[in-house]
Formats: sequence, structure tokens, C-alpha cells
Amino acid sequence: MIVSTEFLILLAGFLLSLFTFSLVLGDNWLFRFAASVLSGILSGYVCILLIDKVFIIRMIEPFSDLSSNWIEKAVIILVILSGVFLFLKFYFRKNTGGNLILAVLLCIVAAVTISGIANGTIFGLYQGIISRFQLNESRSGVRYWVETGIILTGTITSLLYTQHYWFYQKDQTTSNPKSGLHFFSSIGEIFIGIALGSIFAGCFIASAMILVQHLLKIINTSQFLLQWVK
Amino acid sequence: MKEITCPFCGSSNDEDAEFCRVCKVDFRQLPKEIMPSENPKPKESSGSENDSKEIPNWLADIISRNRKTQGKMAFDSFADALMGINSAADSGDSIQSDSSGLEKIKESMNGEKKLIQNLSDQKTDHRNQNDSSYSFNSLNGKGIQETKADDDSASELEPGEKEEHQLEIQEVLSPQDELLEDEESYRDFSVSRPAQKWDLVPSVESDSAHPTNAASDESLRSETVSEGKIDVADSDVDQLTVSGNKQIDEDEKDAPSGLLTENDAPPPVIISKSEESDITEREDSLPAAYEENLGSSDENPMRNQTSDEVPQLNFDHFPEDTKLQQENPQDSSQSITTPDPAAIETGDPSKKTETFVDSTDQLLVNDQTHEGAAMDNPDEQNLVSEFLSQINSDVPAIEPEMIQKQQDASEVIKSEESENDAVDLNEIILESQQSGEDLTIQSETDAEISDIDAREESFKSVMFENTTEEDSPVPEAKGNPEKVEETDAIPWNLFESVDSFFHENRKEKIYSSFSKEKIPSDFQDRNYQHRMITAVLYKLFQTENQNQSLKKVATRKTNKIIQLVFTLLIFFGVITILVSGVTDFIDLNLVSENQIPSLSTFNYQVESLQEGDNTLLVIDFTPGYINELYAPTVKLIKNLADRKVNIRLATISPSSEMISQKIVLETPQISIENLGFFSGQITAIQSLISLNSDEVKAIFLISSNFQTLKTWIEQINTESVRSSLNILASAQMNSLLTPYYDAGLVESSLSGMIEKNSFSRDDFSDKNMNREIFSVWFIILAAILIYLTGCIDFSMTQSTDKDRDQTAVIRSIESENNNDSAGLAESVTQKNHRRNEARK
Repeated sequence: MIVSTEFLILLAGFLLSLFTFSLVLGDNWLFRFAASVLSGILSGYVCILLIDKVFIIRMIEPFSDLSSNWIEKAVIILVILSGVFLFLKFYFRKNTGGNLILAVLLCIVAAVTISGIANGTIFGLYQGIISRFQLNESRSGVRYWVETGIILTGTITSLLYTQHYWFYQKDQTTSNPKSGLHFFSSIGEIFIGIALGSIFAGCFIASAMILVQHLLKIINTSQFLLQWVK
Repeated sequence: MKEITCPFCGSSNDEDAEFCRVCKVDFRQLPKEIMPSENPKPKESSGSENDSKEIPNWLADIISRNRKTQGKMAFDSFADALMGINSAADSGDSIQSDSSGLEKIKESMNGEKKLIQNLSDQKTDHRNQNDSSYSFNSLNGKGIQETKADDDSASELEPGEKEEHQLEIQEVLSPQDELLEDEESYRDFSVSRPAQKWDLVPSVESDSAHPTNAASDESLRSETVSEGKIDVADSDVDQLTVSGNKQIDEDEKDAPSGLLTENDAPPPVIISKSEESDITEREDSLPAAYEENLGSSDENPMRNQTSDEVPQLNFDHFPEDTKLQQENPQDSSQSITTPDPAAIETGDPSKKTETFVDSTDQLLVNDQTHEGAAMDNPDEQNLVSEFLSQINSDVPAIEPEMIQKQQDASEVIKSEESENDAVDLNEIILESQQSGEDLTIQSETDAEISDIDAREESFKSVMFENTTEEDSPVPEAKGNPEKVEETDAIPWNLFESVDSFFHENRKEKIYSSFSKEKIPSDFQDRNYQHRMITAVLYKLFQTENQNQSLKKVATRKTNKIIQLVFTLLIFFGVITILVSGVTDFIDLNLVSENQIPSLSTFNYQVESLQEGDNTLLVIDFTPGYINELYAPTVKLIKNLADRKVNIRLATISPSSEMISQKIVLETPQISIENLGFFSGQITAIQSLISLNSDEVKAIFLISSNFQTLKTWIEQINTESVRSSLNILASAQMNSLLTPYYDAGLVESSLSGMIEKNSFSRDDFSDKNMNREIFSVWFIILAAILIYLTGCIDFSMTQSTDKDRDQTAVIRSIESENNNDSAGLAESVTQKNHRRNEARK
């Protein structure tokens, strides 16, 4: 009987899968063992990946490459120095230079993120809703306008539900439940509920698919192991 | 000895005390920040400041004055004071125990004596002369109204002696406090007057309209006080006694001080602060002394009286302890002698002590009008007596019947004594003047006094007939070590005595009597605060349970058995489908692309690529989704390879890099350029876009994370990228991608389970793959079934162990609610009755 590497890996995977499923019985040392193995392996892999794919390729090789210009090397030196300052800040509590670097990074990230949200999500989605009202040959029919109306109603009522338009006065606490806005807010609540429900359904289906596939894999592996034992 | 204040309950303890006597907190374990302080800071200033912001100034003034007079009203100090827990402090700003009632009683008796004397000579109608009338109802919590005498005696008073004492328990006793007339009306004498009112209800109707007559009687009475005052043997023992002295000093007759003429109102009795502090030091000895005098009779309400309350009670039952003596009238002061308890025990008159009382300013006399008003208001009397009785013991409030009996007795007595108002006043004085050894009253009214004594005895006998052990509201003596726990007991019936109902003819009970027995034994520990908190919580739950049951319904969320059943159903159902293949007979046909618009669109985007075009495939899913997305990804790569499109792989997630490598390894025949892992998330996206925007015609995002996918969409739309954006995502992001697809930000999107299966498979001939689909459908149906069954009430089914424990507690509370409240009160009464019998 030859025990191949693949068999050992298969056996280890099977056992770790069983340990993970033991969480159904409650928190126990098997599940903790499997979780710790997973986290350890993932951490080690990430370290190797960073070293292999980032430090060596992005930092070491440009220095060793003589054909690269000095600008690239200067940039790399600055990046290394920034890394050192950040390391000193987080591990030795030295704020020298680390705060400036963090500020630069955070400002760049914030600017890029905000611009992406504004252009990609807000303006893009609103533009898409507005474009639905543009008359076009492809955009016609009762169904199309019904969908447009539903989209518009859902958008407005959802905003009413979240009360973004209300500016609370000093003494004002809650809205009048009998007001018309409250009626539309209730409709918006329904739309939000449907949206969240659909998200939940998608998550549930994806999880069910993963569960079924893993159960199938475990069953196949167990059958294979039984045959191997025999 | 200095005293410290417990930071938790606020009670005063000795400086050397290791544990708080009330809440049993260990002072040694307290941090320094909250260590008890010797001089507790007054809390009135902050409260007053806050109040002053919100309430009018006139109301704030009244509140501040009340706070000065009422002092600390914390429940613990309240209960401590009532139960006789000594909270006496030194003079100055420390907490003062309330012994002012004793002085008040003595002063009133002194005044009454004068009134009797004056009434015998003149009978005039002086109702409500001067500022107000006197009252002698301090023992039942009534306000004592004091008036400023306008007689000559008052004018001859020394300024330093014009000090009034407070009747309430004060947190800060300022020697400069002057009791204003208005403050008197706001006093809460229920704190300082726990004794029964009926102890002091006179059997005569004092002529409150004739205060001067009463005062004259008092003055006449005082004339009978002999000059044979008892020498002060022990200066540190000052106790108030009111004793009658039959001998009158002839000189005192003409003395304007201390004697009231017919036109003068009885002066108030004022005890100086030093006297009061001296008095408080010897409070502990009073209960023992009085117990000796009373014997072991349980009917004696003084038996279980605490040291704080004894001085406030009526001294009618201690005739040998009372003596009223008057000193040199030129000093315009009266001396009130209090017997040394040791003297009482040994009968040694040589140790009598006296305290000088300034009686020129105010005099408390029995206010017949006020008493009559009280007697005319039986409801008020009953409530007060009930309240006091509950405070002092576990016995519930005096039954209204008993109270009515007391009233009847008092009324009978009142009718009997209605003939002579002056004589009626003497009863109260005589009740406290029955000190056989020291009482040497010689007066012209000896005959009247004898009559008064007889009537007093009859009054006492009638009153005692109406009292029972159960109704004895007197708490246990402080000095009894066996009753330490009892004095520390929580007044379970403090807040209610009978069942209360909602208004508006609603029959729902708000709450019923709540006794200590209802608390589980686990909570009956010696931690006072813990017991209190537990009691309050139980009451709250009990009250809430009456309105709405607190019992949890055993639905699918709570019923463990049903949850287990559903779990096993799903688990074995899936395994059965996967292993046995019960669904293999069901054939699944391939769905045409026209029926799935998203699939057709995605395929269209793939087919629109020409040979030599560059495409960028971004792998953004973790190995957990490899079963769902790996096959479609490989299919996509194969389709692109078939069209001879250049493929570039890239990823921004470390865990996705292994999938890229896996793809590269498993498709060696396909030339794939793996750009590798780009760190930096959003900056990596920007760098990828900037590097490939000019060359790449189509971008395919294969993702299982909506956040990174959304970032990709946003960044791509930020840049002026001409590439088409196509998404191959997990099923959970189907609803999230629809708005982007509808908005035109995404050219195509493929996320559904059937769509991906249709994309990755040519047909549905593979049975194993079909079993997976059927298993997923089975799980979905089971989830719907579980949701529907959750709407069914499973309260009739057996509950689990956890629910049983909760149910038992809830049932106990419900059973208590269902019991008759009267029966509960009776059980408590019987219990206290047995307890009293055990004391005998």
C-alpha cells in the first residue's frame, strides 16, 4: 500500500473538514484545532506571497537591475524609508515620520475612494435612473415603465424611510405617525426589506451550495478512504 | 468617637468599623477613592443648583428650606432611624440623631401643666391667639406648630438660649438654624415620630381655642412643681423626663418666667444644641430603662422601641421617669429632669439628672384642636399609623378595624372627658408624670390630678385593649443582639399594605402585599442592598407578569427539540439525495440562453472579442467559493482561448493568488499571463487600470466579495476606460449587481446558480451535478418550512431544561399573583404573631 502525498493531503483535508463540521455539536477543541490550522496556513502563505510577489519583485529586483533609472530607485528608497518609519511607529511608538506617511497614505486612499464612490456609485446609479426616463425605442412598453415607476418609487420612499431629508428641530423627537410622509416611509421600509431579503436569499443559496458541495466532497472522500482501507 | 459614612448605603458607622452595619460592605477592601469619609459632603448644594435651573426661585427656596429641615432622606438612613439603628454623631456637622421629640414632649407637657393651672383659674376663649396654635401630635407625624410667645417670659430670655431644635434627622446640624414658621408646616415628622399616635391621644379635649387657658393651666401646673429639684449627679447623662412636682415654690408663683398668665400663650420649649447632643449620647440606655419599667409585657408598645424612638414616645407609661421641674424663674428657664436609667433600675434617686430647657420661647402643648382634627380624620390617622407600623416591624399595617376600634376607644374617652377641658390636658401630662419616687407635686389641684390619674388609667386600659401583639408597630429594641438581623430586615411591606387597584374601575391589581417569604432562599443573604434590589426586581417582575406573561413561548427559536429535528432533517436529507440518488429519475434539461438574459449578454460579450484582443481577468474569490466559481472561470478561460484572445490574470487578494496559480497549472495548454498579486487594494486597482487601460478591451471580474467588486466598478468608471466590464460573481451578489447592470455601469453580469451551471456545462447529463442542484433546492424548501413552522406556537410542547428553570420561577410568581392578597396578609400576620409569641 503506497501512501502518496495526495492521499495524505486528502486524508488531512477530510479530517479537517470533519473537525470543522464538529462545530454543529458546539465549540470544541476539534474545531479550534481546525481553525488554528487554517489561520496558520493562511498567514504563512500570505507572508510567503508578500515576500515573493512584493518585496522581491517590487523592491529588491529593481535595485539589482542595472538598467533601471535612478528615479525608480529613489522611489524605492523612499518607500523603504516609509516602511521603516511606519514600523517604528507601530512597534516602538515612535512618531518620527510615521505620522506624515500615514497622513499621506490615508489622504490618498480617502481621495481615491471618495472619487470612486461619487463617480461610480452615486452619480452612476442616479444617471442610470434618470436615463430610464429618456425616450428610446428600446425603452418602451408598459413593463418598462412599470419597472421604472417601481424603481423611482422605491428610491424615493427608501430615502424617506431613512429620513435623510428631515432636519430635526431642537424639540422635535419623532414624526407624526399620521402624516403622509410616514405613509411613504412605510412603503420605503417595505422596499428596503425586500432588498435585504433578496441579499439574504442570495447569501443563503450560496452557503447552501457550498455546504452541499463540501458534503459531497466529504462523502466521496470517505468512500475513497473506505476503499483504501479495504 | 468619629463616625464614617458608608459610600454605598450612606449609613453612619464607627471609625474603626470594618464592615458597614447596614449593607455589610467591607471597608477594608474599598479603594481609597471611595473610602468612607468622616465628613460626608452635603449633597444638597448640587441638587439645589440643578433644581434652581429648572424650577422657579420661590419653589427652590421652599425646597432648600425643606432640605435643611428634613435632611437626608435616603432609605437606609430612613430605615436606620426608624429601626433604631444608632446613627448618632458628634456635635457639629455630623449626623444628629433625633431626640428632639423627647424635648418636644416634655415641653408640651410642661406647657400643658401651665394650661391646666391657668384653666382652673380662668376660662377664657383664646382660640388661635398669637400666630398659631400648639399641637402635640408629634408622635403620629403631624406637624407641630410652634408659636412665638408674646409673654414677658419670652422677653426675658437670653438671646443665646433662643435656639430651636429640629425634629427631623438632619445631615448637618447648624447651631444657627432657626426654625421658621413656614418650615414647620413642611416638616416630615413621619421620620421622627414612628410611635403610635394613640399613645398620645388624650382622653380629654383640650381647648385649643383656649391656648392661654392651657397655658394658664400649665403655668399653674408649673407652680405646683416644687423647688425640690433633683440634683444633677451625672452631668454626662442627660435625659428628658417630665415629672410632676406637686410642690410649688411660692417664689415661682410670682415669677413671670415660666408661668403663663391668662393672657399669655404658652411659651414653646426650646432645647439648646448642647443639651440635645448630650441627650443623644444616652439614648441607648433609654430602651433598657423603659423595658425594665414596662416589664416583659408584649403589649407594651415601648418594648421594642429603639433608642432613637424612645425619647420621642409618650412617657405616659413611665411615670417614675418623668419629672418636670422648674428652676429659678428669674432665669426664665425650666429644667426638665431625666432619670438616669441606672437610677431607674436601682431606684436610686440620687442620680437624677436634669437638663435645662429654655422654655420661654416656645412651648409645645397638647393641641386639642389638632388632636380633634386628627380624630376627626380617621383615614389620615389610619394611613399614618399603618405606615409607621409597617416601618417598625414586619407586621402589616394595622387593620382598619383595629384602627377603628382605637378611634372608638379614643372617642369614648373623648366623650368621657369632654366635661373638663383642662382636666383632659392633664392626662397626657400625668401619663408622663407617673414617677412615684420623684414625683412630688403639690398643688392646689391635687384633687384634679388624682382624677386625672384615674382617668389616665382608664384611658390606658382602654387603649391597651385595642392593641394586640400583631398590631404592635414598635420595632425591636436595638440593644437586643438577637434581633440585630430583624432590625436590619427589609420592610417588605413598606410600600404597600393592601392590594391596590388601577383606577377607572379596573379590577386589575397593581400590586399586592409582598412579603419576605416570597423571595427565594438563595437571595436571602445578609447583603442588605442585594436583598433590596432583589426585592424590587421581584416586585417589578411580579407586577409586569400580571399585565403580560413573562413566560417565553417555546417556538422554533427556543425549543431545542424542534431545532434538533429540523437540523437532522436537513442533514440526512442532503446526504440521502447525494448518496442514494433518489432524484436521478428527474431529468434536467438545458436551459436556452433566451430564457436567461444575463447569460446571453455575458456570452455576447465573450463572443464580441476578436483574435489578438487583450483581456484582463481579475480573480477575486477565496478558496471557499472554488466549487462555485472555479468551473465557470475555467470555462471562461477556455472560451477566450478558443477565440485566441490574450488572457492576463491579476489579483489584489492574497488568497486569490493561489487560485490564479492553480488555474495556470491546470491549463498549461493555454497561454495565460499571470500578473500576480498587487497589494494596496484600491491603489492596486488604480495601478492595474493604468497599466492595462490602453491595451485591454474587456475586463472580467470573478469575485465573491461585494466590497472589492464594488470598488473595481467604481474605479473603472472613474477612469476613462474604454474596456467593457463583465462580472462573474457568486450567487449572493445577484441582487447587488442588478442596479449597476441596470445603470449601465456593467455590461454583463452572471451570478445565478443556474446561469453559472448553464455557462459551465454543456448539458445536465451529469447526475452528480444534478444531485447537487437538488440538494440545494431541498435545503431551500426546508428553510421555508422551518420559517413557516416558526409561526406556530409550541408552548404546549415540552420545554427544555433551560426553559424549565425559567418556567419554575415564572410559575412561582404566577402562583403568588393568583393567591388572594388578603390571605397573604393574613399569613404574614400569623407569621408575625408566632414571632411575637416566640419572643415571649
